[in-house]
Amino acid sequence: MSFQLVHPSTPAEAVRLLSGSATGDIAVLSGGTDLLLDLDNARLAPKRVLSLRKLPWRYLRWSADSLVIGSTTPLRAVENDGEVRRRLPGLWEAIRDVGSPALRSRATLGGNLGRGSPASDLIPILLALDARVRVVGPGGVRELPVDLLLQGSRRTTLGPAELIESVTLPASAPSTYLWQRVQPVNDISQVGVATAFVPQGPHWRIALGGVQPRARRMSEAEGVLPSARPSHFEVELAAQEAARRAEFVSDKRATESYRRRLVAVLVRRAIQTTLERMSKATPSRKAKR
Amino acid sequence: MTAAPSPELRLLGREIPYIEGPLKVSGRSEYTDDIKRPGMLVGKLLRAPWAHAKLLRVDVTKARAFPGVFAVLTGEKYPTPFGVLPITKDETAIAVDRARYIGDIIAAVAAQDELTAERALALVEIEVELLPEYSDPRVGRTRVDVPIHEKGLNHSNIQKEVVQHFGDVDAAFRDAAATVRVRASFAGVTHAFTEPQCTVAEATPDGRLTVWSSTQVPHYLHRALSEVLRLPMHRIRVVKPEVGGGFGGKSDPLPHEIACAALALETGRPVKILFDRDEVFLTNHGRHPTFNEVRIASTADGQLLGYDIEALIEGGAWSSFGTVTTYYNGVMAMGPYALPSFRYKGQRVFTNRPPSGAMRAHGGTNIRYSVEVGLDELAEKLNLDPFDLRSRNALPPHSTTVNEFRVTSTSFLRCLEAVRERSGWAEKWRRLPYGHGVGLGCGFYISGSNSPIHFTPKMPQCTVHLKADMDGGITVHCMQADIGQGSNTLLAAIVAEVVGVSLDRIHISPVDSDVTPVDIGSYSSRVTFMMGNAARKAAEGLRDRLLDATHQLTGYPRDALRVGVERYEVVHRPDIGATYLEALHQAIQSTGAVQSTGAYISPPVGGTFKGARAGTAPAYSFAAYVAQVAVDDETGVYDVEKVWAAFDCGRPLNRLAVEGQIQGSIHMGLGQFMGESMDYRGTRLMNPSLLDYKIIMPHQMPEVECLLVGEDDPEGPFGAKEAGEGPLVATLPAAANALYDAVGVRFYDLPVTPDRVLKGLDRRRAESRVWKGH
Ligand SMILES: Cc1cc2nc3c(=O)[nH]c(=O)nc-3n(C[C@H](O)[C@H](O)[C@H](O)COP(=O)(O)OP(=O)(O)OC[C@H]3O[C@@H](n4cnc5c(N)ncnc54)[C@H](O)[C@@H]3O)c2cc1C
Repeated sequence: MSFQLVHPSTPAEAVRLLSGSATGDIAVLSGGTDLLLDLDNARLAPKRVLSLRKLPWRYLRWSADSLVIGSTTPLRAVENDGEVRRRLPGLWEAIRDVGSPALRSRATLGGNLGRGSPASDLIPILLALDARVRVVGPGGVRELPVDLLLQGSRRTTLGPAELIESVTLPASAPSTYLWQRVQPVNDISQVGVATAFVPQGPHWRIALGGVQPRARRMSEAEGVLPSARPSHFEVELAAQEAARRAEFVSDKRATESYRRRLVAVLVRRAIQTTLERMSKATPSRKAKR
Repeated sequence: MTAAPSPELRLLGREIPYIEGPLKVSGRSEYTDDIKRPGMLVGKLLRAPWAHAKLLRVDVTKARAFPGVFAVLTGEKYPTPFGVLPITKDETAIAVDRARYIGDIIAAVAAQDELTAERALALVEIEVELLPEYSDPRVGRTRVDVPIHEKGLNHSNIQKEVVQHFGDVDAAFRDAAATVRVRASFAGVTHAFTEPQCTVAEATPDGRLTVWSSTQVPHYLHRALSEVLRLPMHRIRVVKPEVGGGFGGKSDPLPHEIACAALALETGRPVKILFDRDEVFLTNHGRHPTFNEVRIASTADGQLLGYDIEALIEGGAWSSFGTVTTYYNGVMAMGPYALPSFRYKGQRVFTNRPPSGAMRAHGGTNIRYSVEVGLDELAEKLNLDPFDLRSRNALPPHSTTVNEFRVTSTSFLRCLEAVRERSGWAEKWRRLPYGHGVGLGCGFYISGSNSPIHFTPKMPQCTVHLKADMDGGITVHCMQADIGQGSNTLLAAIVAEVVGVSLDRIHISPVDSDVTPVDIGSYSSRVTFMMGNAARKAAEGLRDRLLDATHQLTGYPRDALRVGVERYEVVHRPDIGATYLEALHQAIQSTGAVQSTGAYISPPVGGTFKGARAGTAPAYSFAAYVAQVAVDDETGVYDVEKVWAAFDCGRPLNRLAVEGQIQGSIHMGLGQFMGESMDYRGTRLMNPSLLDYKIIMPHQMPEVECLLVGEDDPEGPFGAKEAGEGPLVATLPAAANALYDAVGVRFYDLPVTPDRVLKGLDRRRAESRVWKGH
């Protein structure tokens, strides 16, 4: 394996370099925790690797009603931000349990979205929080909901010369992320469940990971939860609905039937935890690990 | 043989940190991969992508011609079959006419660097005729179209069949007031040691061959190299650097070790082969995937009358230790209970999958699971506390089992008492709330296989040489293989203890067949017992020379003298004596460096019937474990919260090492119980990486409380027995029986994944069986 490593220092230069190369000849490198595996097993054999390291995209920017996270910000930096933990507990939980501390020091939000893995632990919570993605490309800047970015594993709606610049989230939302894995560390989730209560109606958001063909919102299940204070019965109905509607596969990590059962349990627990968080000012530590 | 009461011990019995610890943690230890020889080439192996194929043509012309390639070898140059057991030699260094599993070695290349070697391998042209693939041991038991090995019984894939019957099992079941039957299945598991296999070989113009290898058994490797390469043993030197774990996986001589040596002979240059992790998985030799059935008969008050056992174990592509494994799957069911009758039928069947072999608690783990789960069921049936059922049947000390095992020391009853009390069993069993439970599992294991694998020439199981010279150091030579279990430390401590000197005077010579006398290696938990006895004898010889010298210096007779600390002194006048150095310098005046030797020869034990040797040992370890679990009955996830481990290893000589072995065994046992599994799709291993093969993580480890309650063994060194494998077997059934106590479900298929827990709960609910009110 040999390639040329390029380090553009402005987004414009990066876009120019991308536009000037044929797809397949150039690969975008952020934290590299995913890309390096692809290079190592020769899934990709680019002539050039474009590193985003020098781009000014490492930041967390708070405003009254939003948080903007630069796409090359290491997950560890988001995790260590006390405000994230307090205001967006679901996001914090999802990030805290990605891989291992060493991995999180390199891995980035942009890379996680760029990979678009159906098993991603971050995409469900971004979906549940109605995150919007800011994209730069030859045609300038555009913004779109996360939902419209994703197609399937390794497939996004990004153009060949487009890059994710940042992700915009609400400044706070009671939210929860629960996962199940065989091993708690450095393992891929069998399923992931994100729930959030957002200001704009319909208020409840339920999103699943570990489902096919990509992480997705479960609007049918969300529809079962009309109010801020659903009854136990409604919560259970929503959980069952999510489990029934989602598409699962059996693979080496879990069987389809097990995934389905887990989703029903974890959706219920996630809603309950979110409800608790709505009634308390500060989030409690996730009960189940 | 009755032992003299153990003297007051100065070092042994305490916590002795590993003497090589500072080197290991600072990265200074030399493992095989750290060895660099001038002009060294990289060896790489071409592995079969087909599970079963006749090799019609293997053309290496292009590969040989590739620039930077020094040699390419195929099977025909060294076709002599070898294997760890002399009776089942069926492996070759490189496949000769057939590939028998995905991963079998087809060609070996030595090249200037790794990339060149890989490119050359890609140039090997192979024509094959695909043969039928066998991935199911159940299918291979009857006639098959193309048996994987010619020797297969009646044109089948059966490698070994064992039938044993002691006492009258039919009568036992006829007379039984209660019987239980357990049918269980076990996925294959593998060792997952840290250090991938690595070998360096160098042939020198003086006609000698040196092989450095990450092996548990340098001596068997030495023999296999000699046989296959047709070189006399004295022209081969085998060196074992530090080894990063083995657990049985490095106890066979392995094909790549011989292929590496062959490449060195071929090129005249040093060659190194270092495995990638997927090669480690494919080489396997791990625990056999197993189906077994155990029937247990007892009287109404819980007196055991007999076991009737069948086992079907999957051998993969080669025999390896399989004949032993086949016996062990029966006889390891025997202790720790007295049993009047026993019947066993076991089969080991070849498949076109990576070979199974020896793995920690070899042959005993799966069968003990079924027995101990069966006993839990029996206790319930008889309305007995599981502890009472077991103590009622405990094998008494100094007894003989129905299959003629000689058992000397056993502290099994003490183990039961200790663990019952410490675990709070009386308050917990059947009393914890739903979802929480405790369970008991017990075990026994051999403290060293009594028979060596090779009988020619007749020689001790272990020999230790000591040399003390004017510098005051004592160098210890012995081929025992420290693979991380702490045997170097024990060897040094025994010598220091007996000679009465500080530990830093002892140097353990690296294992090197030119220098170190034969010990037959680290397997069957034999090292502490056998090396320990040999070392003790050697050290006593040295001590006696030093006492003689003290006598010369002080004029006091030998029997008036005793060993002090760095000093020999008159018992009644401790102020009179000689320092260790004074005595040593006196002793070397006439002879030069003082030398001493000690050896261990195992006692004649066991019956004379066919297979009687399997499972005989000079001593046995015993275990009684209680596990406590908490189950999330919605997700099936469970937590083994704590294990109380009462273990009889006789006298623990290094508590740190013994507790480490118990912790490690529980980790490994729970790994097999909770999730480890060699996952196959047909003949293809689907998870050959440590990301996909799930050993349990620190977060999943229970708290472990070790209860070392063994009494001295009469023949063990200072009363010690093994602690390397026995600590594993009780783990799995203790966890299973705890799950039953928690949620009322028995689990017969391992690993017990959360998915299976949920299915088990479904079954219980479908039967409308209520457990603790749920
Ligand atoms: C041991 C291990 C454990 C892991 N555990 C988890 C886990 O628990 N949960 C989880 O969700 N994931 C996990 N991962 C997967 C993954 O590596 C991380 O999720 C990480 O976030 C990827 O980010 P990165 O910056 O390293 O991406 P990179 O490897 O740099 O990039 C990934 C992909 O995204 C593209 N890309 C990167 N940045 C951009 C951008 N700004 N615009 C457009 N495209 C871009 C790249 O071209 C590449 O195709 C794990 C990976 C490993 C190796």
